[in-house]
Amino acid sequence: MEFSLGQVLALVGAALSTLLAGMGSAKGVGMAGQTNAGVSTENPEVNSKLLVLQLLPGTQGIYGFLVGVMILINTKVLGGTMSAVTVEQGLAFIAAVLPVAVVGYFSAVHQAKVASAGMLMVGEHPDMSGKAITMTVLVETYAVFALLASILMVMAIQV
Amino acid sequence: MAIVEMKRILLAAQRQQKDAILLRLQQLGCVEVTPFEEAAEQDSAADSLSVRQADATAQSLARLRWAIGKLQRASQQKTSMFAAKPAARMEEMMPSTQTKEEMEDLLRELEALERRNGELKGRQTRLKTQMDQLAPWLALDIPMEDLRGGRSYHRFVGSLPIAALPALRAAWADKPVHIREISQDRDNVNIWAIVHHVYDEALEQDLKEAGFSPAQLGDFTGTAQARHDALAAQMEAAHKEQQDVDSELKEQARHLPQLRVYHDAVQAEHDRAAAGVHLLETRQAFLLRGWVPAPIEDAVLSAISREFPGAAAQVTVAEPEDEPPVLLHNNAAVRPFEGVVEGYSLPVPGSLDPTAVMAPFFACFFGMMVSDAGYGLMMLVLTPLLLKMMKPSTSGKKLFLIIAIGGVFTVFWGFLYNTWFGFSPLKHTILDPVGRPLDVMVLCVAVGALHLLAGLALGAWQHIRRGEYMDVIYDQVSWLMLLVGIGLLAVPGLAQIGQWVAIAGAAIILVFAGRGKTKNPFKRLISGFGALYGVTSWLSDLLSYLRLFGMGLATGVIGMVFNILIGMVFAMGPIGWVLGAVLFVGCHLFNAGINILGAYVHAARLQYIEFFGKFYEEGGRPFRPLGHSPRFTRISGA
Repeated sequence: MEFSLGQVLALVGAALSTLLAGMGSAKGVGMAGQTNAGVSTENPEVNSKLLVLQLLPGTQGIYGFLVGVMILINTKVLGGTMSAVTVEQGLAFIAAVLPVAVVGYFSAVHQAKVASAGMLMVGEHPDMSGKAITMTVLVETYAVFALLASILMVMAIQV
Repeated sequence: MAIVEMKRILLAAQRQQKDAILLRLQQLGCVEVTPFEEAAEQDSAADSLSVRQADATAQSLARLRWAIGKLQRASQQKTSMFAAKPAARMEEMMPSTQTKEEMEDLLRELEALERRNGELKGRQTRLKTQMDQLAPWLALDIPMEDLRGGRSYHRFVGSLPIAALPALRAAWADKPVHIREISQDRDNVNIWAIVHHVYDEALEQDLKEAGFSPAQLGDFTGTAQARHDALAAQMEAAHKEQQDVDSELKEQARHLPQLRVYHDAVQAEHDRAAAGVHLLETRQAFLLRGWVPAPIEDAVLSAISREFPGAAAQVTVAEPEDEPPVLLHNNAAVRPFEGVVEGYSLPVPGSLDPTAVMAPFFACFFGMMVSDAGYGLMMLVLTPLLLKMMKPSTSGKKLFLIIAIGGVFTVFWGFLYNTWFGFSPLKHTILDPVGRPLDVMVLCVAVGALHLLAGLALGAWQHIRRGEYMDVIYDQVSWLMLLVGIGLLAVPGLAQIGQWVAIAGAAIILVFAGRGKTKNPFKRLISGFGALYGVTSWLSDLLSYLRLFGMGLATGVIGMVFNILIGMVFAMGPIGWVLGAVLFVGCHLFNAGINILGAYVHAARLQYIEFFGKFYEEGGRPFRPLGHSPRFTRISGA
């Protein structure tokens, strides 16, 4: 099967979104995991509470993957042959994934920092886990907005 | 929906009844014992006795936890994550003197085992070091007692760098000396040398220059090999003893169940002792002060007067300067959601319990975010099963029930979204987040607006309950006017009206938001402007509800992608069918798990930040009555 430049650009868009947001989440969950291990060594009973905090920076990766899949659906890579994509449309796909890719990466890393700090707090005061989760979820807001912007843009591109 | 009213209880009785009364209160589990303020200064002998008692129980708790941990590791029994805690009867929480003695004996035995274990470990390390030191000299077949040297000759035993040996041999080749190489390791060679006493100092000097260091062989007789064999035999014996100790420990692990029950009994005793520290005591009597929930005060009072005729108890309304603890009480349908409120912070006494208003929104949001009817059914079926299997504590049970109730809403929204395990089996999709996303987004923001208005209404209710009627207009009606006005701007024909309503609302906020903070009218206006700026937070709060759409879409799309991929595996033939079925279960369990967690956390966040921000007064102290808080068991019949 021959690929046009437009099709390749659309695939680059799908790749960028999955890749950057996934990298951010992997880094974030990893960082939070290290803190979790450290805090659990001191206070093993809070481990299950900390797991929730550790998982929170993982959602950005899911968002990025989601937008990537939406591009694949939109261009009919999933379910048959890829539709024709003009170069402009391909570039539009790349523009569309930028919010979820870039904001996804940075919000995951920053969220992981809040999650780690929250874990230290929960280690000292186990009854404050609700607050720690809330603090961490606040960062997520921007990832959700970026996801929405990306989804709206991807869906606006009629292939 | 309410915060339970708390009343002060004062109880006076003879001192010999103290333990019995505390025990009975613990069984009732509805009185929180609080300290007397004066008690801090009091330092009588009676006080230090109860402090000593509490210290003693704390100490035996620590010993018991150590023993249980030790035996758990020794028994190597894996406990399943889903297994229920063993049941214990109420009577077992009051161990007899005989049980106490048995358990104390067991503890002493375990501690003796631990000491023996430590001693054995030390002995094995010592033996190992000695054997390592001997290892290079095993080939030296001269008994130690002959190595010390005689009148006419001198001996050297030790090691020097390999490179230095040939030069040394060459230098001493024609002298009455014999150098024997016993063994070699990476850098050094171990030698034995014998020399006539005339030369011994010269040789010693040369050896020193070559980097010789004498061997530390220790004090023994016989050959190195014989000594090594003897040590090995001792090591063998120590090993055997170690095995005995290990197997004895494993054998003692059969006492684990009793030990766990006993731990919880001591925990109960410790809780009583800790409550006892708060009492005021004289030589003959004691006085207890605490909190009791108003609805059951009569039951508590009558139980005390019936069972302890000598005791005098009295319940009074809380003093204004007293801060009572907070206990939430709701009907069974929304009770599980108390856990969500507790996860944030309890309301201050005298404010509102938001649980009942929050519960339907929480469940609805949860359903919108999981949004797969198949997963909803799964939650409905699995939760009762897990409840039966795990028999969780009260807070765990609340969590399970939230998920079950959320499951009902998930089925509802999943039906609207037409998503069943990632498939879309129904012909007609009522809400299509992929095809017509704008509809769903508008719906999400509308639900969010309803949620925020409910928060505003609760704020108004709070003011009305306190009789602050004008504040309702300043704080809530003004915002309602502003928001509704702005909303009307978008409706053709009503825009004119909306404009004036919004301006009127904004004016009220501008003038009255700074009331009470300052007398200076200029500062008050500035403070009003600050409040008016809060309109942006309303905007971001509303947009925040778009996460309902985002999370719901994510579940559906990920499920769909899984199905497409599994479909490819499925097309491979019979092997593909089996593999596909396994993948289907695994992938959807994963997707459901991660989305249920996400939905729970995000639904909670929408309450904590967006909803509570409109009215909630946090910071209540939880009601902690003297009761049973078992760690390893469940108390049945309690």
